Amino acid sequence: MSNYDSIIIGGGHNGLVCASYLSKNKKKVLLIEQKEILGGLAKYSDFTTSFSKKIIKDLNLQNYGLKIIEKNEDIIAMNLTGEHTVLNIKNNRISFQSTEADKKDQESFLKLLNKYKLFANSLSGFMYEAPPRIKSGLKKDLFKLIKMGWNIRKLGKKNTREFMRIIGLNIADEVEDNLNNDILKGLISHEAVLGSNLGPRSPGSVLHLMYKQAIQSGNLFTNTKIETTNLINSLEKLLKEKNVEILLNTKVKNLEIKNNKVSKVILENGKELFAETIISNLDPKSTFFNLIGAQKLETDQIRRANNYRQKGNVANAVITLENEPIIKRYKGNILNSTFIFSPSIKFLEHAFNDSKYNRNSKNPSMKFNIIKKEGKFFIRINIQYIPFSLEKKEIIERENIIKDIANQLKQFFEKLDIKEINLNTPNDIQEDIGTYGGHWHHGEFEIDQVFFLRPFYGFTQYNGSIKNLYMCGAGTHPGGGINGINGHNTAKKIIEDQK
Amino acid sequence: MNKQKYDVAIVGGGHNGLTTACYLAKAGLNVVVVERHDYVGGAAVSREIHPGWTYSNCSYVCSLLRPEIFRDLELAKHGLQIIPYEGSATMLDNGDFYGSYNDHDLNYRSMSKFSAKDAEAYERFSRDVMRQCKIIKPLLKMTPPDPTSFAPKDIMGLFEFAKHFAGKDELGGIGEKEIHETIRFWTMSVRDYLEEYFESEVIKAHMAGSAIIGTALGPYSPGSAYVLLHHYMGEVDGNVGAWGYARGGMGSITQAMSKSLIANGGNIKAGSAVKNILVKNNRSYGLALENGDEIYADKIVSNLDVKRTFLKVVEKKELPNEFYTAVKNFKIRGSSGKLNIALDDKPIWKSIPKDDPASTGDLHFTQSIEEMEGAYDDWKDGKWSTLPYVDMCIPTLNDPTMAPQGKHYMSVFVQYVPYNLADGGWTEEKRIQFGDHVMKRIGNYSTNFKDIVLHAEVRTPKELEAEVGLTEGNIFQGELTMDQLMFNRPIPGYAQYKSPIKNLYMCGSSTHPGGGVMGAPGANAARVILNDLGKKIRSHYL
Repeated sequence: MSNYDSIIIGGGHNGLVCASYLSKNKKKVLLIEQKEILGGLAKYSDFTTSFSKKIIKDLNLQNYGLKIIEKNEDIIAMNLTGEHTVLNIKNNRISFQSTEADKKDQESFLKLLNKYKLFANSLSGFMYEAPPRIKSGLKKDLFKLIKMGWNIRKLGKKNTREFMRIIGLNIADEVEDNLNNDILKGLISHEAVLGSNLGPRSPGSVLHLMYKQAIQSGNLFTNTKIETTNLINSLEKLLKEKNVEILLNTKVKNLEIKNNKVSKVILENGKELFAETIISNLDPKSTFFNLIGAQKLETDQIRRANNYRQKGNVANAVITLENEPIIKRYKGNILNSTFIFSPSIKFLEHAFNDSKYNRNSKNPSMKFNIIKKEGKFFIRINIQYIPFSLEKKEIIERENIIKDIANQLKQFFEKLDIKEINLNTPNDIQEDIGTYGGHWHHGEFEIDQVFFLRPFYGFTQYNGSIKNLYMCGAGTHPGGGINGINGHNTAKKIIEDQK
Repeated sequence: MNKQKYDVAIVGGGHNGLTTACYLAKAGLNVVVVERHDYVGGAAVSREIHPGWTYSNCSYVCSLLRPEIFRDLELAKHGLQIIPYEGSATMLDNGDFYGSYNDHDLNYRSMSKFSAKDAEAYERFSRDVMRQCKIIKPLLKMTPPDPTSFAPKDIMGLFEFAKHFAGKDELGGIGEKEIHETIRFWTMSVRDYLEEYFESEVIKAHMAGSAIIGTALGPYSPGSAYVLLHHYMGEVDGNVGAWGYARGGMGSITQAMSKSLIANGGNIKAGSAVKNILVKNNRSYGLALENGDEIYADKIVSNLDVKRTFLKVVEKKELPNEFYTAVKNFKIRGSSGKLNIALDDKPIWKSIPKDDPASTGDLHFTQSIEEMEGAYDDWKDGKWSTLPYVDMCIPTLNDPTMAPQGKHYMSVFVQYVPYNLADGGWTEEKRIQFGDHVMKRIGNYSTNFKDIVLHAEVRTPKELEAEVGLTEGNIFQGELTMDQLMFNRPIPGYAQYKSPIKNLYMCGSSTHPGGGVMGAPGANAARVILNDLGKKIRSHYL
């Protein structure tokens, strides 16, 4: 009955990577995507700076048209009252081009990021495989845990102690202990909390920052980037060459579960499909509640899936401009720059305060790039915190957010002629893609939802009690970001399990 | 000049210093506790600030005092009696109240009034929290192993630590699922944790209170669920999680400890502020007092918090640079205030019926976790909370010894109050303003409170620092967050009660397992010292 080895539900980048590895392993794969194009949530980013070099190499993606862009980049931490802090990124090294921070602060800034790099690199090896299970009774899990501990201990007593101290720490305390300049403190804090439900004073924010460095070869800022459409296209090209079947414009209704196995994939159009292995690239809540359905789950599993925290906090907007913009007090190439507005810990903490009460930040933090496409100029901007809301939000809320963005952006520009603002809040994202909470990383990256706890007990090694059902999206280890590692790990696990 | 040499001199007569002293005295050592004030007790004191009244003017309720320590130090024999109280309440603006009771049925009925679902969920909640308490309890007694050390004793310690989680206990073993639950519990926010069980805002707010007491965290902060656990760990009359009053005020605890110390041959030198710990060739050998005297001892133990010890009474040049920097960065931000009020009569609450047992316990008005988080937001901005969380109690309802007949003493613990007040810092005027602000709020919930206040002692973190010696007024001698707990407390690498200076030890709440009137840090320090001396004593705890 099964004419496929694997069916992958969801054509986001992790699904595509998973399909690539499985097809390389001679598996017959079908990929089902609800939209008319592949890519999923990746469409909300123009570039990715963290796509795995290992995967590019393994899959030979450059042969399929993948272009790695390595231009020098500027990171501009904006300052309304004085000189911006401009960091040059060249060959993945950071140097200060201009800043109000003194030499000592600049050195401390680099030293701090290097500290995190050290730890991030020690653990990055554990990104590419299923996390161990604690107390599974299996030797291989115990071995992995010991190996992890040893990787840190190898760094020396002092570093080990520091690692254990900061693993649960908040970024505000870290930067306050090490830096004086508000802009620098605000910058690091911003990167630590972007995409999360944490504020700079929240324990766990340092861990979040280290994770981001870990998926970018230890670098917080990098000048290596790949255009997301280029990435998706090259993956698609690879899949077509490997004879992976791709069904677009097709939505899966649910899965039929019999005897603790997925027996059928049922499409919205009524068609039924069969495969030995079913892989969901959807977020954990969608997988559990939409695909499997509460009736087929034990109370404990339902509770855990319910308790898994997946509330989006970032809104994304594409602003179409009438003409080329000019930024105040910045003379560099605006097309090779990332602009960040998070001028202090206090500013960021206040923005976070609003979101805690399910309110949109009155003064949100912003991260934006300016893009030129076919002669036209656009701004792609991430705004935090605009929380996902279960209550119905009036149209006027959107209007307010859009008005606020326009006003706040004007502070930074000499010339800014806005034609149109296309806003996507977490609610919009859930509406559009279906991801619960509109959360880009398919769930919070917090200490109790990472590594051997992600997404929750019983499903931390890409599959769970339903033996032939796997999850390969960002809701699994190692977490979110357009890096493809989740897809790689799931394929690896499937191949291992079938031996 | 006093040239007598002791075996051990303990700086600071707080409850941990007294505990350490008692154990060492029991082992036959010649010990002296050197205390700045004329009275011992630190933050566990009973003081007559207003004539005729006894205030527990710092800590106010007892639960965490380790029962083995209670027994070892024979505290009951020396006069200590703990009276459990029967319930607690949150008073609501709508004239209603939520009561929590030790009596199971009363409690169930009370919860059902707000949510039948929550009343049912409470069973599961209690069971889950108690399980976590039981997992944690043995860890309190441990000297934290140093996970970076390859020394045999540390490897053994780590092994013990791991075995604790590997072994089967009476709860059916700690398997993979339980370990997941435990790790989640230790790292979650109390709000997320409570949301997994309860739906009623009032019930959640009532439960979340003990997660924020004394912390620099809000109920939404990851790690706040752990603090809830910390406060549940106590035992009164065998009821894990129950709280009670020390008869005669919290000073009774430290008075009983003093009596026990004297009975075992120990010494107390009160009215003797220490200026410096004397160090030569990286070894401590005595104390220099403010009055010019010197006291010599083979070993010195500091009951002061880690900042006060190493930034004030030990000279910087005696310490390794890294250690000194780490102590400077140790987080000890005070966030609490205290009002001690003498009342002419029993307060009448608008929402709690006259003889309801809930009124004899802790009383609150915070009606939602959101309100509590808002109180925290104010503190982060350097302000006292507009809507503070209070933990109020009237010990005289159960213990008539603390006030004249018919009159009462009310203790009001306030969260959050900053040490560094924005816009110029604390002044006498602002302190009074703060006190009035809290009392006004209390008055809103009572029909007679405003008219029966005879005296109010208003304490901000500044007063706690100045009078009790708690740096920045932090009641735990250091924040209880992951980066400062267990083998990270107070400083990674120095979590075993020893300092970089030979013969200088630490025994206060800056060490594992942290704050609250537990006595565990003091007892653990004593055990380490006795080990170093090759001495053993029979005890329940050590």
